[in-house]
Amino acid sequence: MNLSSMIRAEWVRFCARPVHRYLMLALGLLLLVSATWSGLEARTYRAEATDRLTQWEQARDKAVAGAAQRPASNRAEAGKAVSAAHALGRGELPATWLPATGGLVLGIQQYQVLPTAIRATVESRYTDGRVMGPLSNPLLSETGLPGFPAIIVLLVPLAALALTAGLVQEEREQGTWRLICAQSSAGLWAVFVGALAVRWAAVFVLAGVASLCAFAIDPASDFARMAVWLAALAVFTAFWVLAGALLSLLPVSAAAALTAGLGLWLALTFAVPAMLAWNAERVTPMPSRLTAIVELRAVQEDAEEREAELLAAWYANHPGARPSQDVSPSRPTWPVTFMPRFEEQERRLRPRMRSFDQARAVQSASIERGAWLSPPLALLLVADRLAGIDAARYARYADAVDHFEDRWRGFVIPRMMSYQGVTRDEFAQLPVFGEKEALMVDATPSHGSALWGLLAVCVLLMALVGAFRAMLSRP
Amino acid sequence: MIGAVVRKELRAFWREGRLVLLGLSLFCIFVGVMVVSAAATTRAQAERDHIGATARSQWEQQGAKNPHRAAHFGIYVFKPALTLAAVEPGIGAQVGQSLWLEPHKRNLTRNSLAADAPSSARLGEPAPGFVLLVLVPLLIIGLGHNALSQERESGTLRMAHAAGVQGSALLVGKWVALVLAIGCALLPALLVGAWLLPGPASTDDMTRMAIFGVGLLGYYAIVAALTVALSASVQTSRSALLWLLALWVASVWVVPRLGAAGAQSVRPVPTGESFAAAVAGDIQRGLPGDGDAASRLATFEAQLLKDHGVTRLEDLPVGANAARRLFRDAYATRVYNLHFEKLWAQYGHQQNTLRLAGALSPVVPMRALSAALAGTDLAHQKHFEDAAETYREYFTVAMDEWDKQARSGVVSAEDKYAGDAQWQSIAPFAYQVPPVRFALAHAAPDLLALLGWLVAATLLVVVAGRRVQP
Repeated sequence: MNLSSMIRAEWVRFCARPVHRYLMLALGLLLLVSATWSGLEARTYRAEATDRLTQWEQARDKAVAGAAQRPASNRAEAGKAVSAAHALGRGELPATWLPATGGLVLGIQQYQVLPTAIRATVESRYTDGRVMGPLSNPLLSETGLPGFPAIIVLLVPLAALALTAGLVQEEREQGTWRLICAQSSAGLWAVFVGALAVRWAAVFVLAGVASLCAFAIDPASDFARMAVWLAALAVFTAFWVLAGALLSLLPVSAAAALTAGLGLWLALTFAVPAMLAWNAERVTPMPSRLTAIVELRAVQEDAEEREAELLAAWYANHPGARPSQDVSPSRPTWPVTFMPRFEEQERRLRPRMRSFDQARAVQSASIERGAWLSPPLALLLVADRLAGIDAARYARYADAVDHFEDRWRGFVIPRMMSYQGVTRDEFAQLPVFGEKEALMVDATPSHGSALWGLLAVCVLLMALVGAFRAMLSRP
Repeated sequence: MIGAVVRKELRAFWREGRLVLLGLSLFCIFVGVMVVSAAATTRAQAERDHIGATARSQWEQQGAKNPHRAAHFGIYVFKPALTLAAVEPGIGAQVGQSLWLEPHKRNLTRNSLAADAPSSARLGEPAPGFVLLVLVPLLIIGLGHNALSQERESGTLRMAHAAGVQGSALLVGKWVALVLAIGCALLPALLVGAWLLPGPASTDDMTRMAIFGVGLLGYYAIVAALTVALSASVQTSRSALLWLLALWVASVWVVPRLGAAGAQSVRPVPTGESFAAAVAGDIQRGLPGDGDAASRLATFEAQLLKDHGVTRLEDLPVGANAARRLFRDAYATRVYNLHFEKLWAQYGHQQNTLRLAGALSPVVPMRALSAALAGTDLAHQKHFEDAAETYREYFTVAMDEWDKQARSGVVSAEDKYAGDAQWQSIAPFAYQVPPVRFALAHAAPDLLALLGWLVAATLLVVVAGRRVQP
């Protein structure tokens, strides 16, 4: 009996057991629901992004239509020009967005948690210019579906372990293993490998079909990312089938092997990632958001006290923007007096506010280095990278927002400070968050070590199963 | 008969060593997680107190300023944590850590811990509540999955049957023994956990802990009942284990999450952008029957001038800008309250939809009850945010009322005519966490669901016991 006939026979045996059919049905349904959900969410996300672009274009057309034909030439016009430029500077036009990749379905939940459409402003994003941000029911964020990759990470191992852990022991307990030993002409190893291959294929096909479904629903998904995801999924499924196989070779009862499998799942899925996160926090602590509030207020207060000094310094540094006598008021007032304050606040606060993203990126890099210890975590990290929502890329997006905001301020603020306003013709030079920033976000390829770690652990496990193959011959 | 079965089962648990081993493992995990969680909760509360005091002193020492600019400097408030929050963090990581109160608008809490968390956090944060609600049921399954199936496999069930032992008495005895065994295994961990809890516990805290303990006992009794009933209904211990694990996965991981996803799709909340746009639109265009912002202000100004018998704002005996702000902000507050009430009502509908999932999984009501008792549920969050909003109204109105009386006519926003005495006259935000009856009132549906589960589980044990065949 060759291996393919063996696999066929194993397949028939596998399908004949009702418990396997129920298990596969339940797994398939759950994965399909989760995949469809993620696909639809990704589709909605992209539709919202398109809507935002339309709204942006409408807002720009409206701003262009309302803009003055020529720079302000008297105080009355100057007042209006400054107000219009201020409204423009803190309005909808300085919109930014994290470009979604073709693997969006794998990280849509993270795209919804993190601010991925930050609006730049001439004010301070951390104080007066704050916008509402994402809105969600915290109860559902806590309890809700954790995303398609997380569902895979939770359920695929359980299904693989339920099908494989205790496989040999159960046959022994039922007395059929002795029969297999006696009848197997191709050797027990081939029987065992055939059984594992059938189980791996059954679980992988379900997870793979669900993944294909998720990618198919998202209209802008990309084939290369899907292929990498399927490869990672194949290795991940193989790891858990091999883990179950190894437990099957141990000299314990079927129930004990299954319980050990569950312990392994708990350890690798929850305990190891928690320990890696704890270690990352220990090595690079996340700065306190609350301490930042006090610092922010101190800077805010200091800038307010030095308002006149900062205003004078600004004009000294930008002599070209000094207003003429015809347009400048007798006493500078808001919002002109506030702009140098906001620039000063930004200069001093930006490093502090960016330290959170940076700490998160460093922590994530540290966790990724140890992710080979936890295949579920490794798969999640692969998913994040394919979705383009990994901490490193997000930090680059935050860099791009800062870069764009500097360009935006550089364009709008001098036109406010000079009381000239933004004329209709100047809208052609209006900075737009586009290709330049998108290039910054994806300047560094998002390759991580998680997939290779996963593959290495899988090969190691395969070698272990091979090393313990002699255990099969015990009747 | 039941007493004899209980005694025999407890003796067997003790002799097998499984209970001791699993109990010790549980003790180490729970105490380890509890130490980390209690330290983090204490540290967070100390930091909140310190930052709260520093932010207040920053408010009080702003020096000479225009009062409206001082109001814009704003006040930060922080939600205090109850002792039990160290056990059940609930929605704590998802809501912002601070709330900024400023004139003209009502803010959402900001800077949630979840947004700064690494990817590993998506697999679940290790919290004592996770151990108690998720891992202890696994221990119960590990101990009880073969309660009857093993008797059947080893032939002792036939002997007991022949000796006249009734199936229902046997099963009820095994159930009671399993619950007692779990109680004994957990008691040391819970006592050490209670000792580790941060801060001096008030009577209210103690009551919350006692109710939490009773709730846990009921929850474990439900899980134990399902375990022994299923063990009696299948032929082999492995099948029992497989089915119970499937049930555990479904009730812990699948049902609550699908319930939450369902609640989100049936009752969606608006996006942050559309919510802000709706509020801004209502303020600008006015609520039904009111005019737009410009016409409302024009009417108000006309009335103001008439009341004071003058024709220009510059001639008013009170501060014109402050008076206008009081009028505009009162309207804005009304609009904000309407929209926030609608938003919280929607959250409430979503919670009720999620509660329906409690019919399929006892984890859902138990988690909701724990969060309510720990003060980390939606109701407590709303209570805090509403109190903060009332305070925001108080402090902005107080500032503007003072400004209105202190000046006359139109005053430039660049003029500085108030000082520290004015900022210090604003009373600090003093928030009182509502008492335990508030938590119980809001968690009543969850309590009822748990009670329903307990009754159903008891009936299941009795019915399964009657059907036991050797």
